[in-house]
Amino acid sequence: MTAFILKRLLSMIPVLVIVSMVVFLIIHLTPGDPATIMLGEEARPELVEALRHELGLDQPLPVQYVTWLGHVLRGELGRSIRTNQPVLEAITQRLPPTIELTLFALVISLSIALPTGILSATRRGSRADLITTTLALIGVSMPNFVLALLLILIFSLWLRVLPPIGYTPIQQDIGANIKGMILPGITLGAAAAAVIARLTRSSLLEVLSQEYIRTARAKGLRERTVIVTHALKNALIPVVTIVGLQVGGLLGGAIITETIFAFPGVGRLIVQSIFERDFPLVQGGVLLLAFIFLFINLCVDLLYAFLDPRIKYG
Amino acid sequence: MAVEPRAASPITIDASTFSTERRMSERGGASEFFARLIRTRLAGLGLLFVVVFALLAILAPVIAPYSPTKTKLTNALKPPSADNWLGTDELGRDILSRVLYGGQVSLKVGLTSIFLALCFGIMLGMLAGYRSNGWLDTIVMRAMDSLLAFPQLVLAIALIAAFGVDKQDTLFPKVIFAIAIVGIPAYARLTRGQVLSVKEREYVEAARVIGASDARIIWRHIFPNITAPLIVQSSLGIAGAMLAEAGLSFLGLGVQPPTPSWGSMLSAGRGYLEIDPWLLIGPGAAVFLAVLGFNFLGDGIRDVLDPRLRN
Repeated sequence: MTAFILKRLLSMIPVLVIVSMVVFLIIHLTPGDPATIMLGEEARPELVEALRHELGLDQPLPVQYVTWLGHVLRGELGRSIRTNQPVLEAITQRLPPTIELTLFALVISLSIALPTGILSATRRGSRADLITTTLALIGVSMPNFVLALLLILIFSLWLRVLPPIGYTPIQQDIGANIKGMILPGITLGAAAAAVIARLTRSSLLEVLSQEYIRTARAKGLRERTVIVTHALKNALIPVVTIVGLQVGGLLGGAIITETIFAFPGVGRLIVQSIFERDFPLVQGGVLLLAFIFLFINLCVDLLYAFLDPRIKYG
Repeated sequence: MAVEPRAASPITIDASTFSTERRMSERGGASEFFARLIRTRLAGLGLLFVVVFALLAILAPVIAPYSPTKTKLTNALKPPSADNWLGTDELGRDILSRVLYGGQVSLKVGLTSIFLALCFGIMLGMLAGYRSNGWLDTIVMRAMDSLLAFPQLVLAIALIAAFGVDKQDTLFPKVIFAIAIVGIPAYARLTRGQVLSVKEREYVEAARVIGASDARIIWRHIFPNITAPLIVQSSLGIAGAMLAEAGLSFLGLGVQPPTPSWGSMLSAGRGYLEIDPWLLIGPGAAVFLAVLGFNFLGDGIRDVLDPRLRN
């Protein structure tokens, strides 16, 4: 197991290097001089030159990359062009709402997906199965911004039971925090719920057709025991992978959700920074989200070793 | 964006999903494939949605009742009526006409970006799979892994930021390229997996023995036998690309007004949600039904090509 963890960590190094290169190149792929773009065409030449020097743009590209990577490894992501605030500080301030929203959406999606997926598989061909599979198909095709606007229209503007926008920190008012999290959480979690429900159903159906399940039934075990104790444990192994992958979707979707619901998160910060041409903030935000996604995938891989002893690592 | 693009299918399509023995040609050719496709209820419905959507988009200049860009402020925010079936927007433009023309944008982005992603993905996957365990394979696949390390929409947004958002008239091709780049790794990995499996087959070995060149083996013997999963992935990919385009346009990073795009129409309508919810219905339903159609079709094609996955 230790060997596997080490091997997995080592295999992440080239990926991390290339990820850092892609993020580094964000600023350099831009057509024209990045410093002029950031400050605007009308900026005084000496200011442009000063910014070029500050960002190291007057150095050869490989030198710039090594210097930038060195700074990143020390946690220095530069300063915001607009506010002069350190990028790391700006991002860490915006991280709690994004993490809370992602976790909230994940909890919502799992609490919808697992019971419906199990119900659908255990009652295959029934009306309940038809309804849940149809809803799941609708769920994967429903854009989160359309769902968000529908939810706002119904629950905020017509019924007036939930706030349409805004975020209250949990330490300030837990009730308002949860209330403000419901619509964004459903918006973000619905698609993931549909995908996870569909996989849970297909995975459970596959396990239920295996011989050891027939043996368990032949032994006279109750159906509930067969499903919960014997089938579900194996059926949920692939679900863990898809949950890990869905977190990537949630982090991406959080950008749109945060924008619609005016959440002060990292996603909204990235979009705002693009419009303000604040490239250090864009780089920092993208790098952070990629790292979080990589870290979650690593955790999923490690979790596999515990869940499925049949998988041989090493 | 298969950006977040979102995978419609919970079942990962990989090298083992489709066996070469299940090739379409062995089942009676394309006509039987389409017959089976139409008989599969979901696929038939998906095909219907896709055909109707494509026809409406292509025929938009003929069937749209008004110009999609012509403004008439005295006619702003009108509810549906006999003159304007879906009402008018905040600038008095006919929403139905804009939805129809928006379909053109969506179709163009979906097809072009997935075509580009397919071309590059197949090329890279072929090279990596055919020369597996070599340096080329390692470099290509590590690069693909690195692109997959980003949440897809985040990468698309980062690429658009990198391409520049200053010149709004050039954002359309930038969106296509960004979505295409995000889509490449999925096709490259899928192709590589298929090539790894197919290249060990006896008929490939036979071609090699009679002196066929690598290029001939790849394009004449391997490629025709790996197309089935690529077709499925492409159908689901188009749905993802359309979603990504709509999402990017919604954020203001995609197609720019006055060009009609479902995403930007929804974004503009957001401010009038309380007084005129009709602004939401047309573009919202259009993007949902178009994506649903491609997802149904992708699922249906997969069922037809590999009935084991019908679970």
